[in-house]
Amino acid sequence: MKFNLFVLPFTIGLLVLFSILTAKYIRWFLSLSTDQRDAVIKNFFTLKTLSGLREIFLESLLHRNISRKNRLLGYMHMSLAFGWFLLIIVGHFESYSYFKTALEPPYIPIFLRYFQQDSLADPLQVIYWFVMDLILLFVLSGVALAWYKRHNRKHFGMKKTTRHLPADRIALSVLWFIFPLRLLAESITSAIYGGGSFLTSGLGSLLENNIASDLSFIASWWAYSISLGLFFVFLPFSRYMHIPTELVLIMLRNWGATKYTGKIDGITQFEVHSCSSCGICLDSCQLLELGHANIQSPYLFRNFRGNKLSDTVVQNCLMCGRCETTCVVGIKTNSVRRAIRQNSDVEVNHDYLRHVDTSFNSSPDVLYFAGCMTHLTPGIKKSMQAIFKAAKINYALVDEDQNICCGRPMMLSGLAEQSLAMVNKNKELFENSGAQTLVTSCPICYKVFRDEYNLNIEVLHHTQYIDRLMKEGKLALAKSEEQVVYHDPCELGRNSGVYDEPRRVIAALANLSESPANREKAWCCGGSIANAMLTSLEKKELAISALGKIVPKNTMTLVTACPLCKKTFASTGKHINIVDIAELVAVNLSAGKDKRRIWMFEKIESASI
Amino acid sequence: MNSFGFEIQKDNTIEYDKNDLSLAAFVLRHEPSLYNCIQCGSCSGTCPASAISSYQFRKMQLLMRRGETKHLREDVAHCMLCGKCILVCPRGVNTRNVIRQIRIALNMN
Amino acid sequence: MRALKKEVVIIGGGPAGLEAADSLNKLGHAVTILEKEGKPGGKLSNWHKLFPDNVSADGILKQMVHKISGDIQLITNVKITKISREGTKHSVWFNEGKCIQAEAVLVAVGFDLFNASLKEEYGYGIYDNVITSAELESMFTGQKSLATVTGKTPERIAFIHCVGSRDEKVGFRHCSSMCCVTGVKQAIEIKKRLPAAEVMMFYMDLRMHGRFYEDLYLEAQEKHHIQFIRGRLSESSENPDGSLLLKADDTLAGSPIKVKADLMVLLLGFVPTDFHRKMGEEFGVEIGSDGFFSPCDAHLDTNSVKTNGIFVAGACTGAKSLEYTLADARSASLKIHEFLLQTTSANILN
Ligand code: SF4
Ligand code: SF4
Ligand code: SF4
Ligand code: SF4
Ligand code: SF4
Repeated sequence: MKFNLFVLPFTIGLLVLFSILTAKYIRWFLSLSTDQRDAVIKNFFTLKTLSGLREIFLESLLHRNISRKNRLLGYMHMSLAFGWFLLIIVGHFESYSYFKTALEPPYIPIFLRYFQQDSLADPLQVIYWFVMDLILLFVLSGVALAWYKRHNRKHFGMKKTTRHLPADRIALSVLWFIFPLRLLAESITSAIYGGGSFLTSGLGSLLENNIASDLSFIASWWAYSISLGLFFVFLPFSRYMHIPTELVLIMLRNWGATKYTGKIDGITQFEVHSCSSCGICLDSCQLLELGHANIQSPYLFRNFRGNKLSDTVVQNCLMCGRCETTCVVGIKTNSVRRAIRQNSDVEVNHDYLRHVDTSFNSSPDVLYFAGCMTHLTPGIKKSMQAIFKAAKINYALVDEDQNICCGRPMMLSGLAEQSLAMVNKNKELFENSGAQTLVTSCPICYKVFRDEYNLNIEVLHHTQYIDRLMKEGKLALAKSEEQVVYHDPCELGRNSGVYDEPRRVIAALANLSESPANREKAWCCGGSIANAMLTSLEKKELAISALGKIVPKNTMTLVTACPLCKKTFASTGKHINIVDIAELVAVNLSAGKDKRRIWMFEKIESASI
Repeated sequence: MNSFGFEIQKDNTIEYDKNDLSLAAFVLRHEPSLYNCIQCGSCSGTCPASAISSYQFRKMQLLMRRGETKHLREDVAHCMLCGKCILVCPRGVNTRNVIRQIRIALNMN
Repeated sequence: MRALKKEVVIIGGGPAGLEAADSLNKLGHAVTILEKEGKPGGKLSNWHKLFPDNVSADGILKQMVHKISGDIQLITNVKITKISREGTKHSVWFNEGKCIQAEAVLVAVGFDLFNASLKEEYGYGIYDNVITSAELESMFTGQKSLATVTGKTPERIAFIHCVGSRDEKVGFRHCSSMCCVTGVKQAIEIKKRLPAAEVMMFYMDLRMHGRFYEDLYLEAQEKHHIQFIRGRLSESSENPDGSLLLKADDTLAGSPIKVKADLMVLLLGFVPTDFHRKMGEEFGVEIGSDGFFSPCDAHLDTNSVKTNGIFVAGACTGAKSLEYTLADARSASLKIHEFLLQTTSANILN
């Protein structure tokens, strides 16, 4: 029996780790919704499993996504993860080549140099030694980089990095020790018994005379084992929990089991525990500009894991989704936050909606729902009416006189269940109309009508609808020489994936320039309905800063497609024309009659006082 | 006929000295922008809930600040959190957070 | 005194500029007025009658313009490009390369009226029957007819107070202080012309703070039965017939109110001009939080700024009635005169 007491810390650590992981994962699996569980069962024996494994290889081992952000950072993660993985795998093969059995206790391949000290005069062994040394060097280079990164993060393309908790710091320090200790143990072994390759035997010969002794030999193996054991025990309580959890999440995602259910469920747990606190998403968060530095997704997840959620960390977020599109693990940060925000204790009473009449005395083909915000930007509403008229559409303005909010602001604030009365009333209204298409000017309404209302009516944002009318040749438009830049509203772009239709419409009417931060990288205007905590001055600060970054020097007109963006940008008082796409189209239809209102500001002349 | 008019008629004097102002104090502490309200009514004039119910943000928070909190729980439940009120408030009152803080305060009671 | 004759440039040929030019001229200085429009008078030239006593704006302006003679030179259609200083001399550059030199420069550029399109929920520029207080004056002076866009005589007219004032959402927190009384004056004028029309004012506070302004308020109620509704307009929409639907909170009644109106008049606030910003950015003249010039001392010296030789007068240091604008212009003239005397005696001593 190949055994020595020193393997105990490692073995016990491993057992503890496995028990905790199993317990947690079983609990989370049990709290999956029926739909989610069915998806796992249905897709388990399909190609989806293979594609999941492929993704695990590419992301969890090679860290392709991180490499795309920054090569050095990607190399660092890859050398640690893939290197460690190789050490284990190649270690197993090497062990098999000596002992001809795959059923060794798990510590054998890990401490192989201890259990196979003698040189066998076998060329294969020399090759294994060489390969294992090479892999160890690879891992050590990652450790060195990780250590360097704590002090020089700029070289890794990061301005901010996460501040860690005590458990994380302990695990991190232990992690830093593991591989140098392995190097030490193997080198001393090599110094005493020979063997090893360029790295271990090289270092071994340096240690031969003063350090290598029977005591240091066994002590170094003990130290290596203890560091591994400690790491395993701390893993489930630190951010390193992401290492095993991310693997499960990737599989679940490939099985199509990660659909948002509106509450904290097993998927939420897997998502939250897949965050490595790598901090890569931090730089994308605009709230940092205001000095709100502890509310970003990794902090939310960490506080959730540690059961230490504060009102601020949960609520002070724009839900702009910028971190979601940056996250290298692909965590659905917005859905997780929404789940965490859910609070069924808040009393809401919308009984008064009963009195709202939802009958229709016309039979429109198209319904136009302007939306709450659009009532404060009548320029958009009137433009849409002009467009319907020009295209000769049989339409009805649903929320002319009174309107019921679409419900998304409440959902984003954690009151999804309580918003049902509103949702149902609006549905009733839409369905009573008999129309086939519902058009809205507000991306917030659009998102919720499309994704959460389950309507049997087609839902379009007005940019999509105008694009369609133009394709069908129903609008006679002419291109002008106006220079404009487009701003992707968060709810329309990142959160709904509508990027191309608005661009097609604008490009047909004006010279469209793109800001460097466009599409999924677009800035939030700051007016987000999901944040109730920012002061009006803070919102203005965000808007001014975003405008400065979006609008190129030679452009006086910013086109957007959201009434909230429009109002928020307009309130900055900056001399820039803020125009909705619908207005751009309507002005064009009227052959420039309304032009003065939209283009309020001409180019500011230079150097005049 | 031994009941006098004032027994059936509600006395609507605000007994400021007797009223409990702690709720208002809590809300103002957590959302001090409420101090800036000038009762212009922009919020309640634009509010979709006010258009179809008895609820008015302006009136509700004013009464709260006078310690008149009898109907507060019922009132604040009407809000749809749509955010129109924030967009029109000329004094930058963070109305939605006032509503949130009132709800938090009521839940703690 | 004539021996002291100095050159003074006045930027702005509105009431303040004209009044100061006259005073400085009488104190013995040569004055050049640079006016951006084709004729002097500023906003006054578009106004009909003045509060509180209903005198004709045109009559007042005529008397002021009449005084431009002799040592007062008026240059119109001026576009100033640069102001520079060497020693005690100021050079004011304008209209592509022209330059005029002076010992003192008086800035009397007045104010701009708020761009009502920026308050989008009120519908100016979107709904045809939403007009501004300035446009209403031009209806009074006969440049346009007092009617809706379709030519109909309005039956109900709503005035909206504080448009572009007291509103952090449009970036101006200050009270323009003159629009309340202007609105009441205009409401009365409408009732005089259209006695059958119903007129209502949507206000937050009525700031009728000048002498006899309150009488005007009383007159509006007593004689003309104008309604005052305390509530800021929240939003407006357009009815199919082109009339407007106003939504506000009638705060004193304690309920939201919806009112139809044929014409809606926005009482525009006074806001700083582009010139203010540029003088601030490029010449270091101090600007207050409202964007207007901040003189050295709000009580003791309302006409000097920190930059030596530059003076300010009139509504460019904040909204003022004509009465105060003219008084301020005369006070600036004295200040400039003192300054010119000092520089002269300093020169003699040297
Ligand atoms: S959603 Fe936006 S505001 Fe919220 S944490 Fe992510 S980047 Fe920051
Ligand atoms: S949310 Fe994603 S990007 Fe942000 S720290 Fe966690 S793993 Fe990294
Ligand atoms: S809009 Fe603002 S200032 Fe006006 S009543 Fe409402 S909260 Fe108060
Ligand atoms: S957020 Fe609430 S109080 Fe404000 S306008 Fe909407 S429903 Fe009314
Ligand atoms: S003078 Fe009256 S209308 Fe003008 S800003 Fe002041 S309060 Fe408003």
